[in-house]
Amino acid sequence: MWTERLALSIPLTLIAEANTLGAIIDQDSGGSLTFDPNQTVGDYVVAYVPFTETMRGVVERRIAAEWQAAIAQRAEQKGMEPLSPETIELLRSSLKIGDEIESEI
Amino acid sequence: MQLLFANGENGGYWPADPQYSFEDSAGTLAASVNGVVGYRMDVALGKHAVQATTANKPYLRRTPTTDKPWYDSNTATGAMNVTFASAMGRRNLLTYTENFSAWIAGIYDQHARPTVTSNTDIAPDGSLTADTLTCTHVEASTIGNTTPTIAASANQVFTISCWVKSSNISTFRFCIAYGTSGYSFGNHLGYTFSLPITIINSWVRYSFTTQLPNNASITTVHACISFGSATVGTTMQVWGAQLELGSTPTDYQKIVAGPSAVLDPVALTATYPQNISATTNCTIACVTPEGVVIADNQTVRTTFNIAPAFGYNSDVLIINRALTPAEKALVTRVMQRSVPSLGSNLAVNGSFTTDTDWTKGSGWSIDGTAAKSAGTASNLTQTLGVSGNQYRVTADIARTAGTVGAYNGTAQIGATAATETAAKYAMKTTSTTVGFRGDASFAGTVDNAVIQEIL
Repeated sequence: MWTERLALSIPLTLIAEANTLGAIIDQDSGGSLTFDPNQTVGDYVVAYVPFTETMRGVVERRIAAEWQAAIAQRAEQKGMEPLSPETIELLRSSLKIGDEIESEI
Repeated sequence: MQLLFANGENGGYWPADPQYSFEDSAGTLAASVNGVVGYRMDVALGKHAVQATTANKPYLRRTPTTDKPWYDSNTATGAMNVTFASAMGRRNLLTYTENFSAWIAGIYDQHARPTVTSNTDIAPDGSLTADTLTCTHVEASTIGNTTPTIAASANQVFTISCWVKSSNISTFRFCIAYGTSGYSFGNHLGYTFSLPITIINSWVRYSFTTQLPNNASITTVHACISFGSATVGTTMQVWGAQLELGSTPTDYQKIVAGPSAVLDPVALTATYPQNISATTNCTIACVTPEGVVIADNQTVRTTFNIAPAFGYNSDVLIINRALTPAEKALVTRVMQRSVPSLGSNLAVNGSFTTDTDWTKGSGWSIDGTAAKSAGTASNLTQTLGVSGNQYRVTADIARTAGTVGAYNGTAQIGATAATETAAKYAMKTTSTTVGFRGDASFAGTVDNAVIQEIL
């Protein structure tokens, strides 16, 4: 069910939005501490995140429409305020995954 | 084991047994092998440890041969971390150790705070993170660590250390002050200055050790760096401050922010349900690959979490008193059952005495150690082991820039960002080509490599 951890990084300036997203997609009741501002590489904050296989596929494919639908659905399931489509798109386009982190930072 | 708590002692015992581990923080979904753990049941007093953020949960593993359970994190921030005030974990009690702009006027706000100019000089690690202090008083210009307060008690021995240099003063002083609480002068009980320490205009790490007086009122300690007697306007550069228990300055640990690792005389909250309160002599016992480690006289803060300190742990016991020899023997016997076995060292030529046996990626060279220059993320590997099995990797890291970790066949596991003796990583391999990986920025060396299967 659980995959190995996936390294994710986003610009430090987006940490608040990223942790809001973390809280929405987290399988548990937490998630708002997914990205730690003390764990940075350059100007990026890095987290090593385990996913269920389904959610990992959504994250890795980075299809805009899939992200919008999956995150909105998850927020509704958890009774949380949804992120705006613009914020979701900003996070999606800023996210670096796995080896992308080392090669581009 | 529960007899250890028979007289109402605070603490807990969190076995690595899967029957006491749950996937969710509510403790409703049983944990599965290679799944995450968000709830560890305390079998002593029912003070369960929880972690609700999935990214911060360890994995539950089982060793392939002996089937012993253990927790695997591989991240420095992994929750459920066991933070020892020892060589195994957090030793530096300070925060903002490379950012003196966050520090306050020294000696419980009694002295004049030097002016701080951030990031003026290249630090000993090659980064532009050293700060300049400018003297603001002819005999009382002193800077001291900021919140959170650092807990202390009578007769404890502390050592402060810091890299210092100056082009226009010849001496400075360390000072360790102590008080009853907080950082206001009204809480100040006293202090001990070092003798003037001669400095030069090159980086040298200086240290000062002192024992606090036998004063039962002491609850906090305050680490200070002072100009001593100096001319207003003179300067010194500082970087890498460290305050630690004991009489020897150990390897420097960078601490950015957050609480110090040792005790806070406030009962832990529901978030940290171990509820160890107001104690100065906790005993922490933990299962490690080397066996059961029992650390006496450890102190614990509110944010004491239970998680792998270096990507690996199993049973954890904390109790707020010293154990008798018989109790230690009992604890060792009980916890020894959970010590995973390690195989032999599979790394050939781990001391890099010859330029053989290792496959060098871009930037790597071997000449007594394995060295990498910055530029490209690359690997240093051997072909060994079985893909999909779990291995423990250790090595001595000398780091100038970037991060280095183990390489499991796919990715860098761990991110050591400082010089460290016997840095430890635990990894599940994805191929038989394994070893080390430095990120694009990594410049430094790896030596004394050991790769052992977790049996």
